[in-house]
Amino acid sequence: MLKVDNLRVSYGHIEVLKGISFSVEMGEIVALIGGNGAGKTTTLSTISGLLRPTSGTISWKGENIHGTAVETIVGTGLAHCPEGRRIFPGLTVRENLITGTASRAYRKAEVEDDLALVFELFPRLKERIKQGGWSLSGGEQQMLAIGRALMSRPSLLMLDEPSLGLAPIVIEQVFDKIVELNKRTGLGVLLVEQNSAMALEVAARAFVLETGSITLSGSASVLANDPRIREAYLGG
Amino acid sequence: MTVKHWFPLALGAVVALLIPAVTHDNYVIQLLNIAILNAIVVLGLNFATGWVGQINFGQAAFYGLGAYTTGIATKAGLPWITTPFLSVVIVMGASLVLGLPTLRLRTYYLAMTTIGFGEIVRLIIVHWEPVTGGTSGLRAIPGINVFGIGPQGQIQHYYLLIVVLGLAASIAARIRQSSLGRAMIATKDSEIAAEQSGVDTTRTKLIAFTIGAVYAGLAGCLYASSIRFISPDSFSGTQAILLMTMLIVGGMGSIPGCIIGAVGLTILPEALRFLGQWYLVLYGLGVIAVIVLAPGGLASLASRLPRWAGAR
Repeated sequence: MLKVDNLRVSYGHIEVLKGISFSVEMGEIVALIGGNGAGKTTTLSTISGLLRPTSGTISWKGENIHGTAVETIVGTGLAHCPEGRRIFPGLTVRENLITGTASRAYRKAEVEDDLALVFELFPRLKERIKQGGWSLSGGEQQMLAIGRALMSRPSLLMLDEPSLGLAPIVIEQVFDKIVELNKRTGLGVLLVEQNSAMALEVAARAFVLETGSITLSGSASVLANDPRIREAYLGG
Repeated sequence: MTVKHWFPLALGAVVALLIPAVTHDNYVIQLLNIAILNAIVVLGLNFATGWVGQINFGQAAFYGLGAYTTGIATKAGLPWITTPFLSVVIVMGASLVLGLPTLRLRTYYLAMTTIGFGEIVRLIIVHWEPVTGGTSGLRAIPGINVFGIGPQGQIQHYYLLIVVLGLAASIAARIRQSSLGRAMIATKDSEIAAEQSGVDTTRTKLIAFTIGAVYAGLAGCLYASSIRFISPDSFSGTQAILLMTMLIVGGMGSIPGCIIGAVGLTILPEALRFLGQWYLVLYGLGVIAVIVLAPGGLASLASRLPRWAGAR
């Protein structure tokens, strides 16, 4: 469904992605793991149209989406939930979520259905429905950011560091919800995580990104037992 | 609508409607009329600046474009009813020409472009003397007249302008509650996250800027035909900064704040006139005090009132 081929991205003279290739199939959870500065966020930002690659192709549902505007890509069912949560502090929880529908014209009933789904996944958000985004805790903001991305009815959700800055118990909840969504709606997920243990647990397949190149790939359960991974990312 | 929504609204409306019963002083009513017109212009400024977060110093120039279009057209013999449309067409054209190239870019290009635009408009008004009257302005502009009917005297104008202000404020409130309004706040809070949610931020910025220009253009049209005299001073760069100050002092992003800021800062200099040269000192101190003590503007003070006042 999503196919990235020989993607290269540079910031000025520094090449951050040195020709990476991978794909995500329909309804699959794929993890992209790696240390700081490996190029994980750059990969997602390039796919969602925020950055322009120097070469390589990104094909989504069989079409080349190179050069398409960010807001247009969302409308095709490829949602990006960015790192650091980036919710809208000046809007209420409800307004934040509805803003996620901006890419398409929805009927009111559809919006209400989707809101109900998000509230079912994250009941905490329903309790906060009229509160301003600025008043939420870190974990609630993460739920809101994921909820907002889901409101665009994506077929593939790209999640950037959903565990960043969250308490372990909240991380577990968030990952449970991701798996639940995947099982229930067939939502595909491309998960970028530094918390590799967690990511490998929920993903079917994984890629390891090291300074701009994919060095390892395969089934998540195999990678989780690979000695090189255990040493570098799972703490031995 | 709950008590906390309609109570201040009803109170404001009652006070506004009773003012002419308290004073018949034409000078006071005319000052209030200018305050109301300024409030409409500041409500317009709030779209691009308060909600989308774009700095716009062109609002006074749009105000002036509306006023001069109306003054020139009616003095040339065109029926008054055409002037709101003419003013809107002209300011929309100008705002698109300014906005299209600059609003694609993030950061402060709009601020710089609109400062330049304000200066161009002022220079045209000052130097195109045969048409605009130059520095001495245009006098005896025909009044509002819709097929022979129009307000007579300051008080009738006052009531008309109050109604227009009410309309302008409620339209702004409706827009804020719509998907366009949410897109505006989202664009201000995080342009990247807004785009990732599917918001076309360039379009949102351009629409907000243009709506604001239309508010200013229509207020300018009403200014010319209710005050009946216009001069370049009323629409200068100083006025642009004053409009921005009204928005900040009243409360960025707050509809009541726009009205409070505009009315307060229009009346204050006149009320302090007995101080002579010293009024500027007091005025400046007052503005600084509001910014320091209530960074959210005067409107934010309402949220600090105790519960019994109906606001929280």
